[in-house]
Amino acid sequence: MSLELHQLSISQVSKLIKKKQISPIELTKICLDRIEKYNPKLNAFIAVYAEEAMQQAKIATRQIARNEYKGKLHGVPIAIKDNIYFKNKVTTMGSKIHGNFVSDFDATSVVKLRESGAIFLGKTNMHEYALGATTDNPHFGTCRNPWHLGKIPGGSSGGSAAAVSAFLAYGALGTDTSGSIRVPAAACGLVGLKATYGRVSKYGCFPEAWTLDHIGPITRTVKDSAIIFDAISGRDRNDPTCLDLAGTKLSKKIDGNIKNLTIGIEEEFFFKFTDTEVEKQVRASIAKLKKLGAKIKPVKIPSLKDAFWALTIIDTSETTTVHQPLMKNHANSYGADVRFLIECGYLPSAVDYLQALQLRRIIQKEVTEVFQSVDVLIAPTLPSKTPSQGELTSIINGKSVDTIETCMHNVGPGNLLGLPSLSMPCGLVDGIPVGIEIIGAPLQELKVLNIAMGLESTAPIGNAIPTAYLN
Amino acid sequence: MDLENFSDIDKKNLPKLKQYWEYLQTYRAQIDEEKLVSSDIANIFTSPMEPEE
Repeated sequence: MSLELHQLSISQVSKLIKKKQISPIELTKICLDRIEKYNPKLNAFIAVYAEEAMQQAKIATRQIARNEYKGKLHGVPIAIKDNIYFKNKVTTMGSKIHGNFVSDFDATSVVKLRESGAIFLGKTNMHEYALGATTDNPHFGTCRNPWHLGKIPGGSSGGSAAAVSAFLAYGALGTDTSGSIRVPAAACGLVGLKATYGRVSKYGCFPEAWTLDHIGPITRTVKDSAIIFDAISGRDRNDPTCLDLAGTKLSKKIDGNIKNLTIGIEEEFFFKFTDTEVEKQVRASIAKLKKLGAKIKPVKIPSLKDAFWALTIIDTSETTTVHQPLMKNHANSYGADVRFLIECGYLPSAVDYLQALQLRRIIQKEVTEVFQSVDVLIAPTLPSKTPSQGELTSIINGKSVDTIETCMHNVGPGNLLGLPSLSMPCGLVDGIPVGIEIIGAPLQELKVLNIAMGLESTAPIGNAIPTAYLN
Repeated sequence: MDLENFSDIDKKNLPKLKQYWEYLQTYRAQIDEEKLVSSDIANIFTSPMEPEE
């Protein structure tokens, strides 16, 4: 099946751009036309920078005509989550409170993408202040899943995922504090990469919980995630939590060769309470990886049982600390669910928070030991099928469970421990994608990406693309 | 904590907050506090491994 231009990956369009077989002007126009046509149904964008994007595209087209090609993102239209600052543009954080906030500087990730020649289509919808997993936003409308308009696109980076999934942008930036890149990627059939804590500068991103926050790509292919990650990674003096390491060059190194890599399977925490049909798809993918040459090893990490408590205490305590000044004067301007979540952060004591940090250390020690004998851990991204819009509880094998807790369960340890973690599609259940999560040791993004690329080579969802938003 | 004296909290949320906190305690109850006492509290992000490149 030959793909239409809007369906190509960044890796594919970049080759056409470099060879001057297509111009950034044409690509940008394709995306803007699709945004105009489909965004009213999807609500993926909060703001569209049509004029500026065309201006950037004209500049990129002229540069490439003069053989001033900058690299794989040059002239490629992408979208940015609306909690990442753009100079002289409104950045809302998906909120009413920051509805008119204009930053006087670009976030470091935006600076780096600008330098790489990417074209900015606009800012994407999100759960208010990134505090939720549904992207049901009371101020900017509910974002819809392109595969099924009645299902959540995941969150909080739901707009970024919906935009990339429906071919309104070739890639996007999201943020991830408790799964907010990987959950939307799983729900929308995409690749979402949350790298090691500190690999990507968070300067110019409104904080949620500062020891858990990450910025990363949401894309249609594994290689595309590596391309964006390469562009935004690397040291930044403006972010004290950013690691003093050079930017990566992994897109040139990944080859999908997984021979002799060992995959750890932790049954008790990651698989015990998983929807049967979801589990079937994930286990089939593990079998495919074994066929490709990976070794499979059962592992035990008993302390993971405390991960949800530790993550919840740290996340809510830090979030409420961030929002404390806003709560003083604007409490009534939050959406009801987000206000409740912020209020939850008043509950833990200082002892609770410090014990949660101690637990984090204990879990980290156990996980570090496990990574002595395995290269990655693999798990379902979501233990349930993609929840429906407005569903506060999800059903797993006939049992009712809290939707937010379910969304956070398997992705949370990646934030708690700062581990590189990627979600990618591994199959379909009821015609909707299921995500598989690959978790690596600190700074081992290459192994994570190689396992992902290996699995991608087996075409886990074939040629399936979302069509629910078309009519 | 006496949440009712917290001016920032929407009083309508109090029952739900109490319910939520009680639910979290089911997780809290599984924690082995002896282990916590013997653990150190150093920053976990101090010594990442060297990158592959």
